Amino acid sequence: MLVKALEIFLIFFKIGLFTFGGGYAMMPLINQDVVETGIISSSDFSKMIAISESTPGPFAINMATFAGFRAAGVLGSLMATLGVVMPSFFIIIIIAIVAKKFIKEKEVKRFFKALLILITGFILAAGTTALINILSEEYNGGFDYGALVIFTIITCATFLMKKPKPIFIILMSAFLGILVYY
Amino acid sequence: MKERIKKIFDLFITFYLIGLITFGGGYVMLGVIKDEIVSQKKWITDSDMTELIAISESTPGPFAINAATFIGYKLGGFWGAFFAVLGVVLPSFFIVLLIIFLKEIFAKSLFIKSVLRGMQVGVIALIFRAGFLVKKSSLKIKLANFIIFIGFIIAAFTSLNLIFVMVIYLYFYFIIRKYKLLKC
Repeated sequence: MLVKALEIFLIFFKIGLFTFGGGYAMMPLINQDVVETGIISSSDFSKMIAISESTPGPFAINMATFAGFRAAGVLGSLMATLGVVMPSFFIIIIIAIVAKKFIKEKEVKRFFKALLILITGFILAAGTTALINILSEEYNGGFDYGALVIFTIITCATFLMKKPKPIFIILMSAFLGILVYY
Repeated sequence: MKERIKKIFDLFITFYLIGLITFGGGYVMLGVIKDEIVSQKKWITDSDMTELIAISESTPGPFAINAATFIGYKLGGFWGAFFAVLGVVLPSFFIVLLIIFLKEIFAKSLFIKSVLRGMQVGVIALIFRAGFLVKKSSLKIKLANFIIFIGFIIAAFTSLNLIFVMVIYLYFYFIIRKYKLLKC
């Protein structure tokens, strides 16, 4: 258990160190290091995302707590959260002391903005993989048409709304879930 | 000394409350911080805020953590940053654990299962939306769509380590930019 906890700390430390572009950018990395390695299942992963979106607090922290728990219980959730927070924490402090000017330089910013392009591709891949996984999951012995319907409705709603609020989308999906599956 | 402890305690409580009421990731907290910390408490100025956002763009990690660290450090040094981050993280941590334990209890409920499956599907739309949001903040260059495509292929169809890919990418970008091989 202790070893697993340390393992998950290192995994999330690495993730915390390389997540640029906000909490969602963490998803492809979590997918690779936690789902594909078998620490959590793909189905659990999408449940985690759903719950992380509906609970208060930073998405990234919620994900870490969740994944950490799945990996190694309460100690795991503690270690994962600690891991994901540490790089940020120390980097910001160091920058505040010695590198403020450097990090705000146009050229440095340009670099990270360029990285975001690549990360966009990663995120879209994560979304597509998640979609395919959930649609190919047999539900009650057959193709889950309900999921397809829900996805279509939600996607239309998201694109039609000018400023889609995530919590509203989640509530709507929860409601549709009840309609379709209950 | 007492002043400092009081300030650090205040930081903890403020960020705890911010963490408690902020739903949704990332830059949602920006609005809350602008209201609470810049306008109300006047702990940092608008230009500090701009500085924070600029720094956040080039540093890893969730904006919430960057913000808590930055503001906490400005107000109370290392321990200010520490307790601000602790504050913003704790609500998340406890609530998620609570939900996990409740889930164990309610797992058999068809109602809960339906709600969860609905959310699992709906959330995928949010993932795609996040992708578009990240694209919006990314560099606008001609090859952008091509790079997105490559990133997509690599993430979806290969088992290449994404961090490794990011490093290689940045290296190539550095070379291309330094020697002006392409316009980017």
